[in-house]
Amino acid sequence: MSFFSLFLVFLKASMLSSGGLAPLALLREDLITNSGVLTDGDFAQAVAIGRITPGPNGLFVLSVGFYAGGLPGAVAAALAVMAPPFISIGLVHVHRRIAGRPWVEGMTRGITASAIGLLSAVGYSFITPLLSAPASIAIFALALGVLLFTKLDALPVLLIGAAVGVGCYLVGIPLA
Amino acid sequence: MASTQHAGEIGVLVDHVPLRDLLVAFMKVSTRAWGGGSSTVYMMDEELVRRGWITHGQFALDFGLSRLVPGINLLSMAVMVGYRLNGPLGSVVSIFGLMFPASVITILLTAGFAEITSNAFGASLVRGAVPVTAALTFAFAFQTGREIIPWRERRVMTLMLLYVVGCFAAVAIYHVNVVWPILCGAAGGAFLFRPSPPHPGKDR
Repeated sequence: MSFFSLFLVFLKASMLSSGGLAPLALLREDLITNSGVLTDGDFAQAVAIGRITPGPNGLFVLSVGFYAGGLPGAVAAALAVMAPPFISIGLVHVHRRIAGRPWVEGMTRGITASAIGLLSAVGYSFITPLLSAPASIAIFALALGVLLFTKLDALPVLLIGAAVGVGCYLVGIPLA
Repeated sequence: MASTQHAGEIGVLVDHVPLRDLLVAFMKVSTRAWGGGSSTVYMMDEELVRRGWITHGQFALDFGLSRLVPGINLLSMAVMVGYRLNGPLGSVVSIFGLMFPASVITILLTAGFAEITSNAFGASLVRGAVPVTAALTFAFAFQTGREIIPWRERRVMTLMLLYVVGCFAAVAIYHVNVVWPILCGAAGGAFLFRPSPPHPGKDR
């Protein structure tokens, strides 16, 4: 894909989503389902990198851009995600007028509810390739439990997962 | 010029923060906040409030407002705070400061991933991390739902949960274009997900 095409893909995903991992579903559709530019494995790695590196989780899109188009792809992604936030300047000015109106709150809730459903669908697509390896499913289940029921941050959980992956490799347990 | 707000109130405490100081503050956050969004929020708050530029209340307000803007919420926050502290140039400097170091690190790590994963040992590292990534996605969705869904408004809560399940099924099973659930959620939510009016006599 050209620089401009990638920029438009990332701009669309950024404009139509709100929150760190929310663009995942849109990007997956454009770069995997529709064009076959990337694989689910590329996406999973990009998300993992985004959760490790400093800054907002949403910077995983730079990894996605890098996988899709090298350094120019990452630059296209960076420029695209920097554009929508400037809408917030207008929001600062109009906030006093619209804040607290029920329809604004309802609309925000609707967008967020759709994002939760879409994120779950993305998670589902990550799990499907793991079903052939019980050890991978076990790591998933344990990690989910730790993330939901403890206050451990994402970084140590990812590092533990990676260490378990090495352990499985050394003792010959297959992972997906 | 300093305003009259105190630390616990909503307010910007300093006008016209030098652009260089803004750049340094946001680049510092961008370099140190390893581990994604949670640590970034923590360090942004720490940096901006401790420098005496805004109050915790202002930080919380902007955090909420940033969720109304498309895209990465924390970048919107940087733009808003930068705008409040030094106008349009302040917003540009702030988002650049938050983006640049983290972007360089992200790109370098991504490029290194190809090298890392080209041998069996490195590949096993990634194979162990991938299930955790799937877990992170579900955990993020669950935690967002826990915070956003109004559990005390039973009608709205039920409708929103049904909508979440519907979106999941539409995309995961029926492969509906993901733009539609978002647009339908926004349009329908404006009517169906409005906050329930307070019960008479309970709002005092």
